[in-house]
Amino acid sequence: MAVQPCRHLLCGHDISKAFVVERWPIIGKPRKQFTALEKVSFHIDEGETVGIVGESGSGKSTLGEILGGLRTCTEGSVHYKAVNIRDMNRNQFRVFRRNVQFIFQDPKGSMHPYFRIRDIIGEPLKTLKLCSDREEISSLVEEMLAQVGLDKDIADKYPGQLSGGQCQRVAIARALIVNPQIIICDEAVSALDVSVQAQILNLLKDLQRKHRMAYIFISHDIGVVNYMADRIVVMNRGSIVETGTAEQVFITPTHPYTKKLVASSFVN
Amino acid sequence: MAEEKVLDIENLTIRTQRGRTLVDGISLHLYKGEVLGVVGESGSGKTLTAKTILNLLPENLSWEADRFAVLGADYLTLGKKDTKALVGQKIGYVPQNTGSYLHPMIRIKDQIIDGYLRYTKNNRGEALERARELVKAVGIRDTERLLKSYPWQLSGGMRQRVNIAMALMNQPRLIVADEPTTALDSTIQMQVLDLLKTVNDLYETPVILVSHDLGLVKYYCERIVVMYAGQIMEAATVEQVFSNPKHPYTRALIKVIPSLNIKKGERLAEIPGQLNAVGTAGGGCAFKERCSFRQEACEYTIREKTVADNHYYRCNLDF
Repeated sequence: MAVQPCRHLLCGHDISKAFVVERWPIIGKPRKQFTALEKVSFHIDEGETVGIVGESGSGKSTLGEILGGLRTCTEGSVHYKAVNIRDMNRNQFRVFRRNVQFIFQDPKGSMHPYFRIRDIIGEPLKTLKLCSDREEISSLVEEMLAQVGLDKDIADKYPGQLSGGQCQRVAIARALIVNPQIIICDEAVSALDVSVQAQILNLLKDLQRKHRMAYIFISHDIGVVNYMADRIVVMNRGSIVETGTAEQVFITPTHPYTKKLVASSFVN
Repeated sequence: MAEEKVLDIENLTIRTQRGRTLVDGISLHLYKGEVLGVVGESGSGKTLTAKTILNLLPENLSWEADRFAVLGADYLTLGKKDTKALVGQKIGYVPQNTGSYLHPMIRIKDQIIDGYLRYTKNNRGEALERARELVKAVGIRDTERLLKSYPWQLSGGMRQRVNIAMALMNQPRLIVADEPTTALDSTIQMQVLDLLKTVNDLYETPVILVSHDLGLVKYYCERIVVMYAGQIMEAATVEQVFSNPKHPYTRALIKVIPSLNIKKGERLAEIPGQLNAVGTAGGGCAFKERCSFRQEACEYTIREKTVADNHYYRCNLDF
């Protein structure tokens, strides 16, 4: 299938993803499959925030992972700057990896418990071969810590010694240190208390203004997505049911599922 | 409301063995037919309070209170056995984690009637009949299949319905729901809460709804208790809390939740700092470090006030 080259920074064409639930013995061919995504198309431009909402099992995280190159899709393609990520050579892929970063829901789970915060934040620089000078990494780490509003002496602590909000700030610093173009926030504030949640959301917005990054903001919380996103994608059972600006989708929803979702959330 | 007091707790304090205070002198009252919302962030002591009512407090914690009457029985004088019997017979519990409350290796039908058989003289057949009725009442259509299945065969929403049905088996006179919908999706969350509300309307069963979600509590409760760092910051009716919040923490809490009609480009209000550990306040206000109305007096004293219609709050300022 020929796919037209796209003008967008990152886009996915007709992405489908099926997980194999069960295989035939010996032959190894899939016996049962679960379709997590079905022909989903998605695009994001520079400096834009796109929110993905939906309930658990709607495929929003899977879509995020495929767009970020953490998973492969069974059908369809993901293009970064008009290059299919499957056709990228090693160097191109490294550039892609650098420019698309993740922030996950459980910040502690995505950090090595025996690494100091300094090493956690500096790790992407080493693995992406952007910088190998220890002093330089160290100064960059400290600069990042300051940017996300953390104290310098946190650098020598372990993740277990930090609170949830602090850990999420560290995760943001780790994503930011390579100066990415896109950050995929997968339920980045869901595990935080409401008073801390607001701080992190404001921090993300400030950083976006400063660095002109694009966010793919995945969340089940309509209020949070509405606050963060310029454009919203509503997902249900592996496909997109509605897209539009925040006002279009949440104030005047057209699809019955979106209506149900808005009605059942307790936001004003 | 001069109705029957279902819950009368005065000055409850919960401590660890080392003497660290986790819940610091809170008072709770609940009347018949009422839904009371207990809101607070993690570490505010809301779950511990609920667990004390259920007599489920971990053994390494101890509690003391000036008065602790549940359904007319005084926990302070009641023996261990009697407390257990009271909780088992008259209090229904809806847990947060839908999965771990149910035994994975026992069929639903056997779990659901277990508590019932323990406290009634009815036989298994009658118990199962009642279970069938209740399971139908909580909105499950295929009752027979459900009763035969194991917990891990069910979805989270289904399991929570089973938990509610199980809580209702003994015709409880009080339901304690500890974050009943935190693990559930928003559309299912609403169904489960509607169900609890229906039970409350139908049987006038009072419900304590512990939650971290102020928006949710607003819809389902009549009275709200706002907790922070083991203390009650404000306690009032829903209308009072939302139209006329007295405590700075409550005000901030209402503001930090992003609403749908927020203007583009508008900055979200935030509460600076992070949750401080319980008992670090010294003599003063527990919220002082994060409060934007902080005064000098907040360092060492705190005033407890009750204004019109039992609107309690704990602050040095008058709003």
